[in-house]
Amino acid sequence: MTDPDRPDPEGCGSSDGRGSFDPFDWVRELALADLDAGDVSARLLLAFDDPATAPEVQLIARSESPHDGSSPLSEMACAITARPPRRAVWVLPGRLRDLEDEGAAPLGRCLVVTCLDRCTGGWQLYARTIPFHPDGDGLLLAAASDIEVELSPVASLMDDAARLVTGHDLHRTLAVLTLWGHTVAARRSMEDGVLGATLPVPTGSDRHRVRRIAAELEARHTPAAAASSTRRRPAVPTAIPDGWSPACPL
Amino acid sequence: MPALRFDDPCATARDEATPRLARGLELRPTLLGFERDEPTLYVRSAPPWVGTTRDSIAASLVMLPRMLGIKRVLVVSESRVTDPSIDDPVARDAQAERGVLVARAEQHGDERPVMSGQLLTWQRAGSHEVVWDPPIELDDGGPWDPVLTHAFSSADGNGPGRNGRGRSGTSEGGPGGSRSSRSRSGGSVRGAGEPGSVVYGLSRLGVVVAVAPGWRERYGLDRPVDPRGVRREDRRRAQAYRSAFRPTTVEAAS
Repeated sequence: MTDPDRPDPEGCGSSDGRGSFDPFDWVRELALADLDAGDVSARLLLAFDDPATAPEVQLIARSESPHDGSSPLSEMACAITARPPRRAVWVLPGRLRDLEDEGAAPLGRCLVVTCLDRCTGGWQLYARTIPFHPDGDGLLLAAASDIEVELSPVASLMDDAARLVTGHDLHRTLAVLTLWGHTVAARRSMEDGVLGATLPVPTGSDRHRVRRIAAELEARHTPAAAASSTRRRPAVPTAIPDGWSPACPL
Repeated sequence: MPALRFDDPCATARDEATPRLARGLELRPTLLGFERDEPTLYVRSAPPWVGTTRDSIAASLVMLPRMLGIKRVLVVSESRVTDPSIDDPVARDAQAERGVLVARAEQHGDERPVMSGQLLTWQRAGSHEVVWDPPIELDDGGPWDPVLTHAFSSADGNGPGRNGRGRSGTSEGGPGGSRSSRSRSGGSVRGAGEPGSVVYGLSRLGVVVAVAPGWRERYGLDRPVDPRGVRREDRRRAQAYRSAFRPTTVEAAS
């Protein structure tokens, strides 16, 4: 996957100097392969156990439909509520828009990489964007750059989902998501141990519970809505002092 | 993040600003509240694209310190630093640089708050490094002076601290015991509602509020949010929170 046209992602370094973890490590090959194929799908990569150096579960979003009760992104977030991950990276295709002129046509396309990294006493969220050429061929237009975390469509959703521990079984949640058309992939080590090689058949109550969680997350965050609705999303309490807790209880 | 210290505003401001500036992000105005020397409250204003104005930023920052009766605050924000010795306004603007302003305010008793400010300029060194210049001392809090004066004043317009403002929390005094349990006649500030409801409202506007461990209860932030002000999509969660905490709340016990 080396290409002289592409900017060196290593040159961007770790986004906040926190250890050697770079979320782009997880998504580079996947995202570039997607770009090569010309079809970028939303992917959620999760790692649960220390040291979370590689993703253990990958979720690929189903395609959107006009009859959706809640968007595919809210449904994927249910996997975070089932068991809070040690690290999670969410890759989304996005459109770059002018914040001052929301009615104008999009300026270009980009990948938005939103990363959740659990640390002592809380977690950190950060977001980066990578503009790419809309005509495909996997051509990245610029190096990855950090953006305000509130600009990511899923930052508040991720934060809320990590806070809202429902205790619903992870396997059953993933089974429900599979049923709804999402693709779930697990690393081989996960198949031996934590995640069963085959997912259980979800019951009606599983579907109902996950549906309710997804509907609430959708109503609170509307991750797939237009850019103007970012004003309706709650604040994302990240980059607060270590060990402190967000004051808003909801 | 290293320790936040009221007696060393420069180090605190550098620690707060460096990670964001190094990543090429803006530093949003941030208020830190202290009880004696212990940092207890963190308020970061909303992102600029949600329609913030200077007034709304100032209001969102000082609202909670006013409610909670915090007497020591630091405000860290970005500022443009210009050289007054350049006469030509165009050239002066062109040579302006980005700096970080840290304003410090402290109130003893009912007196006017004591304010000071420091201006920190910085240069980028390498791709993810920030080098700080020696701080420039200011006479007062700069543009934050009127805002912080307002934050420490009482609601009756008589200037700072004429009215006793009791804290609306359940435990009065706190560990320092610096604040006597004075009357609860906080005027309109007291009438603004429970701290939890105010924090909820600020969160809907994009303002990040955080408290130090142990201070959530002392500030009364663990009490349920007033259901009348909760938006429809948050009602179920507000209800769940309310019932989860019902036995421990003051309202249920009395």
